[in-house]
Amino acid sequence: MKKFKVFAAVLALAFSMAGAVSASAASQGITEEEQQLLDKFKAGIEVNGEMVTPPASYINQAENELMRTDVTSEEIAILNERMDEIYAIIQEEQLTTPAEARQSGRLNEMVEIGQEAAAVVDYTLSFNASTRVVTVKNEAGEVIFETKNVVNQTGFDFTATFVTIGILGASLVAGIAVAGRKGLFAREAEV
Amino acid sequence: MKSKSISKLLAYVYMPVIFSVLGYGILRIALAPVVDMAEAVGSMVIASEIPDFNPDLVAAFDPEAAQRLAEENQRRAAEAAKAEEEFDPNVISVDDVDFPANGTYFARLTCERIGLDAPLYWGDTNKILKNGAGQFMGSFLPGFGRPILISAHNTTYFKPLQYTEVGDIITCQTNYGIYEYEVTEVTVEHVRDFAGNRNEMLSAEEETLILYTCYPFYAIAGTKNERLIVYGTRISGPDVK
Amino acid sequence: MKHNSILLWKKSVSLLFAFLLSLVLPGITLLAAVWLACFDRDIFYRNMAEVGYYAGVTNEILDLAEDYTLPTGMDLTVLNGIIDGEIVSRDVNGYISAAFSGIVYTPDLESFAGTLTDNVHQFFEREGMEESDDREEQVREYVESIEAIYLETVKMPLLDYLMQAKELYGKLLTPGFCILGFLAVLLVILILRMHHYLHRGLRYVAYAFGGASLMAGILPAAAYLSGFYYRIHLEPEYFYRFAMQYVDTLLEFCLYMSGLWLAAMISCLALIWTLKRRLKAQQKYTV
Repeated sequence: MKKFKVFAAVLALAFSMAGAVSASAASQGITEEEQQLLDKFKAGIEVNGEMVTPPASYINQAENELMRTDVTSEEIAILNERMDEIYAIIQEEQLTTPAEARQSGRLNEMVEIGQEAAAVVDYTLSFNASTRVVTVKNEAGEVIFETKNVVNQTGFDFTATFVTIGILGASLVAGIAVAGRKGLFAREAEV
Repeated sequence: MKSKSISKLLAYVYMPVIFSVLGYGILRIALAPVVDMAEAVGSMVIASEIPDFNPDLVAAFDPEAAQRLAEENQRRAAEAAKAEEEFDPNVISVDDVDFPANGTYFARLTCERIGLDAPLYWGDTNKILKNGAGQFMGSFLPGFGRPILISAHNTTYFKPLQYTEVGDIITCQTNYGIYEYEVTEVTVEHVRDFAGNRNEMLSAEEETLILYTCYPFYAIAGTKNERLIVYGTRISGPDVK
Repeated sequence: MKHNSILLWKKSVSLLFAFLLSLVLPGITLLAAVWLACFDRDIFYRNMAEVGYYAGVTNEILDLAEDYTLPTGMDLTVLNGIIDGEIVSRDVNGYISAAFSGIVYTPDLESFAGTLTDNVHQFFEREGMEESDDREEQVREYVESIEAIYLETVKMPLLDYLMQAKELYGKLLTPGFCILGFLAVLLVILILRMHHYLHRGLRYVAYAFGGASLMAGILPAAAYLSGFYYRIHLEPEYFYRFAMQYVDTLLEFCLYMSGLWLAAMISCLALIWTLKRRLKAQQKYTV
């Protein structure tokens, strides 16, 4: 089984964030829904005929967090959907390495999905610039997850940018053309 | 005339405002990919507070808490017996477990025979290892039926491990229970092999205490590429459910 | 009717050109602000000195060296005197200076290694430990490891990425300035050409300066006052403080540029007022 640390990190991130809901006054331990989510995460996905699974340490950290806190059914549903979306991208693009993810141009999309999942709970990423370690902290500032794999390059689609610049440029040219045609540059005395 | 002058003066205020609003709108569209990404990443990296660079290690361990909980459980068992209900005093409810945060001193490791007495922290950062033994966050607390991976420096808190033998009893006292582990194996492995086995070790469905430290123990070895590993199986202590 | 129609077209096209000018001017200032605040060597050094960067690096190196030394069983006194603020500043600045100049910098670690090795041997002597070839090999490994820690820590994190960004930005800067500068001048000329009286054309230029001042100033001011970027968690601490100072400097430069356009707008208004007065005086005289 190939260990796919970067994507496992993204998914484990989603889990750790799920576990970081600390406002719950409900009981600890893992509910059936949480267990289903965890099992889905443990099972991994099939890419290029190979099963890709997260490392045991990520799974265990997620499990610890789910035991520590409670996640509501709505939040589980959101996390489920986001995980499915990320899995779908990985399978569609047959991604097995971070470089392939960047080249596929869908890394941004995955980060945004991860962010949507993360918005379910209040957490922060802390980045150590020397060691390139990303740490996830819950709202109390407690470290709940750590990974040495850092996504540090993404690609952008600048289609809208070029279109907008084009429109502005066209406005300038049109303005000049209109002014010329209407004789606006002829300096008649203005009444 | 006066109103025309006022209107012209006001134009110097509202026209720049209109320009700036329109301008920001256009920039938002033109830079949409960058702005969207920045928003997504920003919401992940911008915390609710300024970082605290000197978080203190927290002491949550109470040596008498386990005893109190055991007594409470006995009382609950007696009440349950009177009410003809089932209650196992040797099972701790997961609600009674105060899950430690990173940097929390939550338990104590002891072994009388070898002189082991180490405060146990959750997490294994350098700061923690200067103050005690650290448990890897990707392992589990005692009582949960899963592996427990703990490390410490061989020159300080785990120095006594060099005297460990099979059959020694290592005690891990937490706030919710006192756990005893019988040493089943003491071995030395290259750090590469130990790291390579980690996944299998952490996936196990049984409660194994795994203590490891740098090897060899004598002072000054440039780079210690080996690890002394002590494996122990739980022989007493409440289950957590 | 035709005259009114032409006036309307003049106003519309003037407003359009003024709006475009208000987009171009902040672009010029942003190019300048980013270049000065982010990629100017002297401002870089100034920011580092202000936040105590060098002391932070020194402490970090000693901390990491301690963490490495602890498991060896040696006393932490072996680390005494291996580095000081001066040595660290020399090497930190050396890396940065070399990066800005596009050359490679190699710190001189002879004194560092020598002091550390002597300290270790003194420790052996104090402990009555016998020296041997094996032990010498271990000492050499230890010293090399501490050297590696030093080299890794003394080089500013992400410096390579910053220099790549600087190189890319440098390529954009000159053409960017030229294009935007040309556009700005063109738009001003077009606006002024459309109006018989200079002060009428200058009105639209003043709107553009005002718009530019607001665009260059509102967002940076909001960011600066809210300080939301201080809540980004970066480590180590000295790097966090430097990064925050970096962002502060950039935002301050944007605000200065915003002030510049505001001053330009005020100057424009003063000029308009002067021209109008002169015109009125001339018309009065003519009548």
